[in-house]
Amino acid sequence: MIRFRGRSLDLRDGESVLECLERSGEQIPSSCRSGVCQSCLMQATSGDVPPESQKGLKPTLASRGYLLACACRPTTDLDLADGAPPEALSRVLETRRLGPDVFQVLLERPEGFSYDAGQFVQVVRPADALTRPYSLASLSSEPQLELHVAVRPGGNMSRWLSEASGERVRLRGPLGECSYRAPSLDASLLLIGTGTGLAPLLGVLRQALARGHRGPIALHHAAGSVEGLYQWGELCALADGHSNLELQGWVDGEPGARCPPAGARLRFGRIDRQLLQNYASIRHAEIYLCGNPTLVLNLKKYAYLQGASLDRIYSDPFVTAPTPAAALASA
Amino acid sequence: MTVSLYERIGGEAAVNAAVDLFYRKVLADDRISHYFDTVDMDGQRAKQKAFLTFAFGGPNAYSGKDMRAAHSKMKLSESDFNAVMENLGATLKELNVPDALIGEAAGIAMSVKNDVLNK
Repeated sequence: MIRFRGRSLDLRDGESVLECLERSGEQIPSSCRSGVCQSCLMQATSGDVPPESQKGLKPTLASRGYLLACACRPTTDLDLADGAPPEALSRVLETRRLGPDVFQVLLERPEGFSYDAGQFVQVVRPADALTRPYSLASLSSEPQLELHVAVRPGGNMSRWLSEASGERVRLRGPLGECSYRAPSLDASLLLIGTGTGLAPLLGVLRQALARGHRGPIALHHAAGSVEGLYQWGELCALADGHSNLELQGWVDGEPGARCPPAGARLRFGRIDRQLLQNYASIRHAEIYLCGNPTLVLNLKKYAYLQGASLDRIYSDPFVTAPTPAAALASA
Repeated sequence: MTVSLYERIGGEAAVNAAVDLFYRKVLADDRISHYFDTVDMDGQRAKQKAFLTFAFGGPNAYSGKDMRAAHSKMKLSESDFNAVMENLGATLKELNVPDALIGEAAGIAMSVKNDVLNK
């Protein structure tokens, strides 16, 4: 049994706390529903918190009974409170199309809001409390927060955000561990991402360069088309200006009529684990994997098998929210 | 008084030396790797550590009941179990653990076979 907002609710067999609360008519913010995005953060004030519902939470949160409702299948009675961390108010300043279905969304940085580039925030739409996670590509020292938003058919938040100039939003966070944390300026960094997985990688890259990172940095960005490699020109310019930065774009498809912008840096074909095989310093590299969840898991596993340390692999699988069939049909 | 297997095998340091070797072996073993398909590799690694601590006769060993509950839905076969045992043996061999100690650790792991296979 769980107690929440003065109600006592019985869990059905195999049901998560999130499912139980929703079935009982409670409105709980959620997104990925698989224990990754931390949208459904709650706090247990008494009872045993199952360890699997605290995966990925900072120890400071876990020790205070915070848990992820979607991954929580309690074995004892639990008293629950809304665990939402403090929210900051912000505003959408500007949106700009970066690629066929990718928008850059610039947000006002709330007073006192500090973060590490590459971490993510929960963006909350005030009208209906719809909540979705987005990574921060900007540096904490910049006046604006930069998000990259992939607009998908039926993507309730993404379609709204891409045209939300001037709208108010609430922000929760920062969250996640995907940020520049190399033990030395000479460490090897391997950054691999698909689609808007570039956003956290850009954050890490910008932070590394701002700190004067000297070690080799390899950035691999994969997309389904040449146009999907958004900000490619900017990345090429960045690589031209930093001899320790190696850039590789991967396009899963045939070269189209439009000529790709750069030859040596661009490959046609699916990004795969071969690149890890050829990466000499994998045992000592700091490895960042962001974007497509299947690819992120495959690469993480393979990097580990090749001798990488799990402690040095930072992965940010972009698990998208289940799309209601009705929304898909109307898209 | 006899010195425990855990102490003779090298305690926590031995577990730490073995865990990545062992976890990489089972992940790379096509016979059983699909049982280890999960996003949460850090959690999986922690489980392998608990298992090795148990097989080495160490503290906080889990009970047969825990083993049964944890594996009951996986429908594991005898050959799955044997594959894990093989990987355990190969890991310890690679770490130059004497055969007699490997035998003792294998014996401890064997003691939960029926629980793991839900027999």
